[in-house]
Formats: sequence, C-alpha cells, structure tokens
Amino acid sequence: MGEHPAGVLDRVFTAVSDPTRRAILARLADSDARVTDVASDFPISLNSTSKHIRMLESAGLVRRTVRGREHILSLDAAPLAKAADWVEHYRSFWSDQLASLDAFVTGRENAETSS
Amino acid sequence: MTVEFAVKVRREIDAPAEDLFDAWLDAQSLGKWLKPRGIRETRAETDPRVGGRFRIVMVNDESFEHSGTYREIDRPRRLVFTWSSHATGFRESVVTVTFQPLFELDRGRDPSRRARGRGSQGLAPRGMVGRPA
Repeated sequence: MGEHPAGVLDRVFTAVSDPTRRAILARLADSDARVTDVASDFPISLNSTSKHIRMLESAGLVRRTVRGREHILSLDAAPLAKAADWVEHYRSFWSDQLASLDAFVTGRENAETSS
Repeated sequence: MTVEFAVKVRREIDAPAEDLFDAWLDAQSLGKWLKPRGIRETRAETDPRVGGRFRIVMVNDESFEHSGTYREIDRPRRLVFTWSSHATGFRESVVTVTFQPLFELDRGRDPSRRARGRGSQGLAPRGMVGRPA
C-alpha cells in the first residue's frame, strides 16, 4: 500500500472535473500549443482560459515553456496515471474484501473469482 | 472548489442482508474476513453505535492501522463510517455500504405482508474519499 499523495490527487481530480479543462488536455494531447492558440480554440476569454491552464499546471498535467514572449504548453499525463492507480487501489482492495466477505458468510471458499 | 471522489464496487452475495451487515460490525468476524492478500492477521476492535470508533490492525511484517467512526448504522440496509489508514494518507475518507435485497419472498397471500427473503441479497459498498465533514 504505497504512499498517498493526497494533495496532488485532489488537484488532479479537480482539474479533470471540468469539461473545458478536459478539452484543453485533449487539445494538448494532439500537440503542444501556445496559450493564445488554446484560448482561440474555446469560446471563452483569454483570462478564463489562463485560469483553467493555471489549474492544470498546479495539478502537474500541463507544463509551460517560455520562449521569448511565447508560452508553449505541453501535456504531462503522468499524474493521470497516478489518479488511475489510486482508483485501482481502492477498487481492487474493496472488491477483494467483498469476495472474502462472501466466502466468510456463505462458507464457500471458491467465491474469490466473481465480481 | 472541492470535488468528492468515490470508487464504487458491487457484489451479489447469496446470504441474508442481516448476516452480511453484522459481519461488518462484529470485531471477531472482521478479524476473519477483512484480511487483504499478504496479511497474516487482522485484529479488530469495534464500538458499533453512531459516534463509536473502530480500530483494525492488519499485520504482516509490518502492521497497518485503520481507524474510523461510525456515522450511520441502519441494520440491515446502510452502514456509513469514516476510514483513515496509511493508504488514505491518514486523511479521513468515508465508506458507505448499502445492502439491497435482490428479491423478496412472498410469505403470505396478503401482498402487504411481504417478508424479506433469506435467499439472494445484494451488497453494494461504496468507498469514498473526501474531506472531513
């Protein structure tokens, strides 16, 4: 049972809970993009696009490289894998325990496999 | 903004809801079934009333402590307790266990006197990690 980086996960899940931010991630999955390019893809102001991007950056999902006056954004999917691991940890823990409860209450040891 | 995240698992178990429900609260029973792979022994202490606490220690080479407080005890339908452990970073999460009968037996001719069947009962526990309430 590994370390639980709670704060990071909160930020990742919060970041992907918003449809605009998910669309920005999908955009960056295709290719890196400038902040202004991303902003022009969505029917929202540059200001609110910037807010969404900052949330994605604080979750570690987006990296910003500054080249002169251009800010280039790129996707870092690693935190998403951590979030998926977190979900899988709880899913497998409780589904194994329910199999164990099943075996305990019904007295059948082969209850392990179904789910 | 805080979003609450929940992982949901579900299992159909061929046992009365009461038996399943009691297995979550009885310390001796917990010690027998709440034993993840690799754990040699589980020691549980429970105080099964709303506001009562539980402590579950799972032992292999190390020991892993889990603890929490019962928030709702509605036998045999719904059980809600907080859950804090190494895996939650010792932050409080909330586990909700609901028990749903898969069918009811008609025990008499009067349809208003249907009794809960002792056949198949469903179980749909839900583990949820959120902020302390």
